[in-house]
Amino acid sequence: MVPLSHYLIFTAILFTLGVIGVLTRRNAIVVFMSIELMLNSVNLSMVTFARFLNSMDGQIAVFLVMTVAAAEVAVGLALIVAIYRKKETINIDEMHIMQG
Amino acid sequence: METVMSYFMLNPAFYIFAGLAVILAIFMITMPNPVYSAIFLVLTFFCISVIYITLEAEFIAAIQVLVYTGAIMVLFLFVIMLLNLGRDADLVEHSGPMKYISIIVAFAILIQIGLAAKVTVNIGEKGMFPIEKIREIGNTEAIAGLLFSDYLYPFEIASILLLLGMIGAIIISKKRSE
Repeated sequence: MVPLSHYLIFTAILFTLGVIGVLTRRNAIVVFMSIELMLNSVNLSMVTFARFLNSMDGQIAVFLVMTVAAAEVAVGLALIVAIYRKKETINIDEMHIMQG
Repeated sequence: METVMSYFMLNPAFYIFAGLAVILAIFMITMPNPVYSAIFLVLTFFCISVIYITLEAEFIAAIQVLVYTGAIMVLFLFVIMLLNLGRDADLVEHSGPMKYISIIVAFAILIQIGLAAKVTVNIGEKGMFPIEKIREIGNTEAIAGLLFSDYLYPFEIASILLLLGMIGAIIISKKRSE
């Protein structure tokens, strides 16, 4: 059995890569994909804890997080499409005005 | 070093796919073209689903492939192609010294989480589902039994949330007719 800390270090590295993606990229879609990567790393750590604690609740939580992620992606991508229609760009540096 | 090698020999699948996932994630955040980023993210999700299998969470692994690589990434690719973002002019990213500052911040976060993972804390009480029991009744059945009894209300709320997400996406992305 792989020790708990190895799983946690792996999820920490994935989460950090997601943070780097969110902070350095300017393309809204790639930023969104990095957020998905962060969500996935947290899911993985929840399943890891569920396995090491002899529990099933972590897997239920991951199931619900995936539902929320699906709804979030649908709404978020719709927002990106709406912003692109308005501004002809998805560079997040140019989205600094609240009123469309 | 010895112990790391022995862990690797006992569980090669975890270490191979964890390394692969990290490399693919690095490609994902460095590719200038969002289509390549999406493809590398799909491959990363596949590696993560293999790691779910090493944790004996088969249902979550299957759902990971179905929902993330199947539904969510197809949605991403649809939007990329809908907006026609393959043009080179849109792909130039101007980010100056902030880029290096943000990488330092991200590594600070990594060190913080890593220290939390390294400290061997008492991780809490053991639950009612040891791995032998899950193996006996099956992973999917164990999840389903809990989902339709103890977690019935979260399950129903999640279904309402999906409906709301669908309606919201249609309304937001609809063309305004003046």
